[in-house]
Amino acid sequence: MRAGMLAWLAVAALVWAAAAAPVPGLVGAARAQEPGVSTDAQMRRIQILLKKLRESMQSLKDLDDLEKAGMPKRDVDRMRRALRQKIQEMIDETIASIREL
Amino acid sequence: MRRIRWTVSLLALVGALSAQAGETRHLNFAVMQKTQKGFEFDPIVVGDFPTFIQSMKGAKVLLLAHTARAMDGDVINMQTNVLREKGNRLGDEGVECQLSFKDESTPGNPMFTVGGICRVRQGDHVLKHVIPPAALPDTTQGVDAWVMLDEDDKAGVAFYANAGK
Repeated sequence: MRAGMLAWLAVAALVWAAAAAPVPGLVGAARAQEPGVSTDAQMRRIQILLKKLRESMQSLKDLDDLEKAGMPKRDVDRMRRALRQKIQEMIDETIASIREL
Repeated sequence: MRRIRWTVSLLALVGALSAQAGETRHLNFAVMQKTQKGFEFDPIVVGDFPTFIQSMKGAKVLLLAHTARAMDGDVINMQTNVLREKGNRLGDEGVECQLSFKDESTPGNPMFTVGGICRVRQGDHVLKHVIPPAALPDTTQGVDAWVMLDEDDKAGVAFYANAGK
């Protein structure tokens, strides 16, 4: 429960960071951005990633249905842990992309 | 002499048990969808991969995967989503599955199972399908077959799998 709240807070922070990202052209030279990719394109990619991240977090709840389908609780819990770790990886990657802007 | 026989038996037993522990298999997994009215999915398709695909003449592939070696307790994650920016919404089409791979072998009887949840997103429609844990045909035991783990009749979607080395 606590981990879920922390993850939501992380997404909220990321959404805020993406929205508050500097306007292209104002910060130019010091920025380490992917060659050949404009800041606008990178921003769009990050926003899509954030939306997908929110969706993935919603899907954690779907795992409860597995127990009803006969999967042992310990296996469902293991799947939940794996998905949470995967989500955490996605958060870390998105943060890294935002930093590159 | 009797002692040697006991030692040999013990070694054979330990060997058999250690061979069981940590067994790995590649998981082959396919999600198919009917394209032709009247086409019915077979519960088991006996044969190799070309035979499997040939038997799917009234269906299309939504997802096809051959995983890295999996072992007991592994969680397998598959995604083929196409993400598209649509104003404030996320255009998201494709298949994503989270599966749990289990080794339920007993001495002399290897058995692997898989179960999990898949979401098939097509347009605005999302099919969420729970796949109850089911035993897999193991090609290493000479069972060259694909088994249908489950089917969603309404969406015409079937989930097939087997295990192999």
